[in-house]
Amino acid sequence: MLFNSFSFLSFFAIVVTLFFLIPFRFRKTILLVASYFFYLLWKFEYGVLIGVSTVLSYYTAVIIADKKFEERKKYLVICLFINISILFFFKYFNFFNDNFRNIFFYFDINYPIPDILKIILPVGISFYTFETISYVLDVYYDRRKPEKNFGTYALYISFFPKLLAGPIEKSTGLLVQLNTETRFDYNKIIDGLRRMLWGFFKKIVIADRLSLLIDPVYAHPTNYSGGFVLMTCYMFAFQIYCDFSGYTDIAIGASKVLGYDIVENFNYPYISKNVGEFWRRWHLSLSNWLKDYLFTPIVFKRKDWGNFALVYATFITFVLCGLWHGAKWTFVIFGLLQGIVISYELVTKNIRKYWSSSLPKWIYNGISWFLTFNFVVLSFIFFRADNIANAIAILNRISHANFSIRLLSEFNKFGIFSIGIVIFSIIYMLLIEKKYEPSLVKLNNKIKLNYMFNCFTLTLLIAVGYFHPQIFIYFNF
Amino acid sequence: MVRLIKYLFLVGGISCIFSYSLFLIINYGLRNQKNDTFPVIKELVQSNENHQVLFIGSSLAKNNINPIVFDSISKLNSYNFGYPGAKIEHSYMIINRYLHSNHPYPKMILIMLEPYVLDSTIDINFPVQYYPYYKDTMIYNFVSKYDSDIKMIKYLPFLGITKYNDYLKNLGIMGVLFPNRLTSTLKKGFEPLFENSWKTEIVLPENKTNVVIIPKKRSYSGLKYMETICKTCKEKNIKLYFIIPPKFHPNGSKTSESKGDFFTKLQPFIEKYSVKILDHSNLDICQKKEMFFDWHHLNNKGARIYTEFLNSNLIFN
Repeated sequence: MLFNSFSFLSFFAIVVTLFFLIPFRFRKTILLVASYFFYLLWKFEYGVLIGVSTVLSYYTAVIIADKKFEERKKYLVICLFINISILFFFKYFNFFNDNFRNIFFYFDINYPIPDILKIILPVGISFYTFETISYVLDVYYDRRKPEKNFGTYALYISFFPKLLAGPIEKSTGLLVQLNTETRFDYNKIIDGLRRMLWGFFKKIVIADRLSLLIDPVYAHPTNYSGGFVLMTCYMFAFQIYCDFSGYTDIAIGASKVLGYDIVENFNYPYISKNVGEFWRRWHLSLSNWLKDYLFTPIVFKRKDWGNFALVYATFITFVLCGLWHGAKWTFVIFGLLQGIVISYELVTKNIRKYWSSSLPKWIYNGISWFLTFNFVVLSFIFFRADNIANAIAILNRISHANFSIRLLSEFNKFGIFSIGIVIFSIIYMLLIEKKYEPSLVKLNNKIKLNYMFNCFTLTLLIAVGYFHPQIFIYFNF
Repeated sequence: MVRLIKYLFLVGGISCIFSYSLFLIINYGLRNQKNDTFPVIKELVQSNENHQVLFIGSSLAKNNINPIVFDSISKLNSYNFGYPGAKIEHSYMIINRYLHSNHPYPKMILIMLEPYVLDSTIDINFPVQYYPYYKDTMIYNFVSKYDSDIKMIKYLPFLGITKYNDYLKNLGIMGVLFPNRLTSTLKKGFEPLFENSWKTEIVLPENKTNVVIIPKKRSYSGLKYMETICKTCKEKNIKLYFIIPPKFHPNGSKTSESKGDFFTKLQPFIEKYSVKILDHSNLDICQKKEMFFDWHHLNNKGARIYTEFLNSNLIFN
């Protein structure tokens, strides 16, 4: 069940109605049943995996909490090992298997594991596995007490608005809220619905329409001029933002309607003036998770190494960040590129500070923004490309970019109307998010403005939406 | 709760009104359009012009018969109601809808027939083109059999605009803003195909004088519509012709497909309703590659020559 489908809207309306009609003590049960129903619709077998992961992490936390700190480690290791193994097997087995087979083949050695294990990636596994891991680690380090109620914990892991593509919730956020009573709050529901509408607008009007332009170019880059391929790469930056932040808006809005606040994932990522800042504004819940549970522990462990510990931790963190997105070499390169540039930024911090003081601020900021944005667009080529050959073909086309009359005819194929809609919608999105923040929080309690915004955006959505539901890009991760 | 419901109704209501208005505007523009099959549907539903000859069928009618050439020779007023991918149910609807309009009955109807036309259909090609006329009962009844979206539009018309893609919205807007500047390649429903579009690399079959094409197993479930068409035409004193269209048969080869099971199925109608059948599948033109756009469709030049032949053939018959 895709968020951008009428079946989800019907499902959500039923869940919300039931949720507020029944007494509080039954509400979590309704949400848990609804979440599992929502998830099992994808594939029944997926339910077993999330169930195993939930039971394992819940009871590990309960056991750990009863033990002294020295005795906890073995339980933690077992739990992490099983959880990571499940993730590894379902997400990375094919990737490593194929690569090992290629290496063995290169050295002419017989490789014993066949290519017949067709493993399908269970949707959302990367997101909920990180949540179970963070919960167990929080209990391990005594940052929180284990949850007493298994149902509440199971709901925290499977809560349907954020189950498929995050945001990755820490146990100190949603899990705490699930234990407090939520009341019918008119303003919160209106805010939540507005946020959902905004997410639908970004996904259906902009992202899905842009995919019509971008997908054929990435499928056959040699059929297009370099200039058009370059423009497509810039367009992809907007597609991925509208796709993922659109999903996040729907998730946050749906949670808000039910009375829960989940974490924000975006904060104007494309205004960043360095790549480090970009990752503090893009997919915040993943960045924070990686910072808390990977980067910081590595730096802490290697504190004797000085600045090199930061570089080392940055590299490890971003390679794994790239690999988290998908089991492909393109994602490894994507992560490596981020690691290299952020390491450079760490090492040259003092020199850049000197440059910034010797140049007018607006020039320095402008150059920094320009370089950062273009680096992000460039690295997204590896993010979007199906394989390395495809990414190289794209880069090759771009290297021969020129802006001849052919560019206009290529855009014309996409349709003047479609291009007009895309440009108008992107400008509308940027203006609204600039004025009222990406979370639209500045629209709260402005009654007339809210009416106008909702009516206009809903009309725009119905009138120019691209209603051929497409999967969210981050569902693949 | 009541406040929330009021809020949702207000926002939803305003948006629905705006969306419905936009749907009506796009529909108006599409009805003005002179491209695709919009003018043909408009002619069918809105025009009161008296056509004495109607050409009915699939793209084999639409691309093969030029009514302007036909009219210039015969001094009659004809119109080509060919619709790409149309099967006999479609033709049945078009004839019925035309006869339903407020103008005299035509003198003759020519239906281009191919065996596949008589098979039942599970969908119709590009049903969206009928949406601007969803309020027309006959159009609605026909399209709703194959396309559930038109049912949704009838009951939730504000969602109608979601069924139009960008191309159609663009056509609609152009039809509203610049109705007089629109140009059309259609000539009274006839769509000419360019003479130079034939793929020269096509490998022709070896020199055989009689290629026997084994016909696919057909259901012929559309025969009931055929019977109704024949009956209606007889009642209204309209001459009805079935035409087996020309096909490209290279190097002197001939087809035998039209002379098999298909003719046997048509025979009862020919006898009972005095319908005439014109088999044009083996004309001399069928061996001239330069007359064809592809294996089945004549190009503009071929259509002109064939229309002239058709006219003389009709006089002869």
